[in-house]
Amino acid sequence: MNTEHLSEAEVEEALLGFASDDRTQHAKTCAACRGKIDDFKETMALFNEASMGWSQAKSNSLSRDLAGHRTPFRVSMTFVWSSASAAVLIIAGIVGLGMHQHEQTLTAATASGRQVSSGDANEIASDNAMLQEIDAAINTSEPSPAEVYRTTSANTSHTGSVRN
Amino acid sequence: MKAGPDAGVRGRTISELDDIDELVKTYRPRLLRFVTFSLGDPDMAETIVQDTLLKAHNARANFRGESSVNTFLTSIALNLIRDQQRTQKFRFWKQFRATALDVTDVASFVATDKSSAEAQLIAKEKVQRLYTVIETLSINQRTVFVMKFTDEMDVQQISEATGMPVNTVKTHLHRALKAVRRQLGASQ
Repeated sequence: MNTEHLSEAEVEEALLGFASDDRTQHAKTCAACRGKIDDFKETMALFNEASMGWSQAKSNSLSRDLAGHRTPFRVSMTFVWSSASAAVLIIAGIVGLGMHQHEQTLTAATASGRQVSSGDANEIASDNAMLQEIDAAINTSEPSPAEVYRTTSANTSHTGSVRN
Repeated sequence: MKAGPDAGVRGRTISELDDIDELVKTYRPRLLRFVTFSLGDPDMAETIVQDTLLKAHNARANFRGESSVNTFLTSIALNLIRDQQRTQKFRFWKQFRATALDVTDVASFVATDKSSAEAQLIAKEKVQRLYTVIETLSINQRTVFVMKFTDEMDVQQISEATGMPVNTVKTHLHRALKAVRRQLGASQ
């Protein structure tokens, strides 16, 4: 076995895994050479540990972000169903409310109708009486303008009947 | 890659690509780290990682299982990184480093089970120092360095992911490692 210490180039070969068996064997038994290799490996291990910790933490936060971005699609199906259900409920509510209001209107109209008939009965009666008086006055006081044509119209009617 | 999610056979890997949730859960942290440390821009890295996973999922029919899912994903991510680096917008923001990675934030994730506060501080400083050094590498050197020493990919996998010949990968690795060790040594 070559007992000479590893050169810097050989240390690098060893770190890259390209060292010959002889040199690898020396590195295992020589504390000084092994120290050089281990020192670099230790620094790399620290770096890898820290960088993976950082990356993992970053990735976890990204996962939450991604979940936030991706859930809209999943939620969108839920959202569609929810919206559809809500729409049905709203429509049913509107229809129900409309019918209820219609009933209320009818009830109000009926009630108001009753109020009119009972409240203004006297006025209606007086109006009717006045209209009857007017009719009577018209019938008795002046002859109808069509009165002069009564004979003619009767003849016309007769003639018409003859013609037919 | 030594361990982790890549050891699957073809059937398993195809199902991994089919399930986007599983794909994200399994590969995003590793992919995010790779893209972030290749680009040095965590915001852009997030976008690229999302695009990578989506592209991989959409292109799953074309995945023949000849490489691992990890290599497949890394390859897609690399293409997106290269596309991004070509854009004018990237160059503009790169100048201002508006969304540069906060390395102290990364270093804060060093395990807290160190023997003392001083050991903890030294560990954090080492992480910060290494990141600063990695940043000085060329894009190719940085990419292969991160793949090799952070993602623990072997040379063949790096070659497949980057499209570089194996010898080119080795050359970049040698240069990158030499530069990193030299700068780390100089700072210690």
